[in-house]
Amino acid sequence: MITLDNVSKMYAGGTEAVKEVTLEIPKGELCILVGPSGCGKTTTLRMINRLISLSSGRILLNERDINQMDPNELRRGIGYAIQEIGLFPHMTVEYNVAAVPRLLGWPREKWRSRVKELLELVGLTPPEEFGKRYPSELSGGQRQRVGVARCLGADPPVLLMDEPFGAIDPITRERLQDEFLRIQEEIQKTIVFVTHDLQEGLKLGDRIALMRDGYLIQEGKPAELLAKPKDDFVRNFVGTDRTLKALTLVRLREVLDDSPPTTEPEVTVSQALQKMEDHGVRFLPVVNGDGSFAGWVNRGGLRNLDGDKQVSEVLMRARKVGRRDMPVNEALSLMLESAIGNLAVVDRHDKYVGVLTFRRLYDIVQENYLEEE
Amino acid sequence: MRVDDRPAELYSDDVLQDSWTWAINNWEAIWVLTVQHLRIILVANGAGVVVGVLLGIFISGQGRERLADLILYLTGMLITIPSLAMYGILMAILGAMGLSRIGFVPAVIALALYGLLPIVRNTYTAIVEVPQAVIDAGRGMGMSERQLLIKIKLPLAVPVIMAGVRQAVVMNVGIAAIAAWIGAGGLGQLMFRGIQEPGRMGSILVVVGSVSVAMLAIVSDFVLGALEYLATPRGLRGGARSS
Repeated sequence: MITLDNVSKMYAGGTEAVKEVTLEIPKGELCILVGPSGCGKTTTLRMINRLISLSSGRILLNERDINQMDPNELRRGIGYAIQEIGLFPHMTVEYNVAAVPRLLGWPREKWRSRVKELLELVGLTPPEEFGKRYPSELSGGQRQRVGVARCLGADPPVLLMDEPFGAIDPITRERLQDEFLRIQEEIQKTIVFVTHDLQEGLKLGDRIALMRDGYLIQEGKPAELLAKPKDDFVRNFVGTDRTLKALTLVRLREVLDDSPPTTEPEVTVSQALQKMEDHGVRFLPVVNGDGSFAGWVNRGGLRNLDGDKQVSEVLMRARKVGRRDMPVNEALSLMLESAIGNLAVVDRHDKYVGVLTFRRLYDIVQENYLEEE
Repeated sequence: MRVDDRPAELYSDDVLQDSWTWAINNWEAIWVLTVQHLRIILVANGAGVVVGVLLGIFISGQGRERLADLILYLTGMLITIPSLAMYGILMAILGAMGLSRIGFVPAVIALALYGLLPIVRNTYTAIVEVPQAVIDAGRGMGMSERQLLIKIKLPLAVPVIMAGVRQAVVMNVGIAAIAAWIGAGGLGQLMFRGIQEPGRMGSILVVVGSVSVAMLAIVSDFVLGALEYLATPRGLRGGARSS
């Protein structure tokens, strides 16, 4: 656990970079420090491993005051990754990753197997081959991976990461973020992560701390920040599309509606119409006998048809379906693309599990993300 | 040293031809002078490297920017002193201290001083220009200042330091020729004798001396270039040094 207690940084010239920041990062959580450039987020991060000294206040690492600890020992116990990566160009990937374990005097066999493990973790396989390369022989994305592996070197409980995915192209960045989430799920480190990219923060963070001009303005879960911006600055920072951003945080499985009745492809048109009448709905999802989704029928479409026809002959096939784990913003996009406006949701085995409608989406947003003006 | 003075009947119309013949006949004498020449340079630049690198490291330390400027200015000034004047000044100083004013010692001191600038400057620049991100990463992972210097800064600086050494040595091969003037021996002796000697023999000695010095400079440049390459960490060869 990391505790920042009234932490300030005043430089010799009188500029105050960080002002009375109080923040607690529970064990195993990933806390994002986000804000416009010059807001003090990097300074705050670098005070935690004492690369920058505090002017006042205290920082506790697992209840121990960091100022009471030897700075080099403190740093060897904290993983540190920066945007420029700072790989040692004269050392192979293996020696770069092993830097902290070697500083700690691990025996050769131990650090070698640790390096192998880490390179596998960050997807640089085969590790034997990548370990022998020099940084100049790697692509930008591969270097970032080495940077992440290196900061995990001695398995520190705490990581400080300063825009570690900042200097790479958007596609690679997104992939690294996904992989990083997977890794974090596995390793459960306490992480302080600086970024200026709110989207990245929303995606990765368990908590988000928004800073401006050295002050901590608002702190909380990503959804809270989007739902209840504290003031105009936060509202502006999260943007007028905050509702759309909020949808990225919600998974389809959390909001899908499994109550609408379904029908089978074998029934007749008039039976289907009757069912809609009975339930007071205007459409029915058609589900095959094996549970897979077949398509849609709606009242307007069926009314003028021969009532004896089978539903299977007249149903509208949907080209796109939603998956249970899909973020709702992607689901919304699929709904907007399709002519039907409803989205059938399937699970991993392509079995129909429910439906998302515009009405439902609207209700969720109203419930959770509408500010009381 | 014994220089074989052959009678004039050996001489052809071509001074270069004669010089070649003379050099072949006197290769042992030239070799002895070359070794003398190299010895002065090795001792002088050896000392220069130790002092220069240490000085370069020292002035690259935090908060020593003004000292660095001063030292680089002074070493730059040393290099502008004409070599004859330098020997003269050294003779005066050594004489005042009651030491031998001529020979090996003043020659070595002069060359060591001349060689200082490229070595100090390159050491300083190479260390100061190690990318900040690399230093930051090293410090952030808990390296002490000493570990940073030994494990990170110096290995990265070695190629640039070697380039400075190469420059100093090649420059000193030429300047050492003048050390013969204060009796330190070396290939310069052939040239000085040639200047004093009248007629064809004088010309031959000047040509052989000059060509030998030039060849020595070219060979040292080549050898040190190879050393520079070998001393460059593999990760830096032929690639960008930024991470």
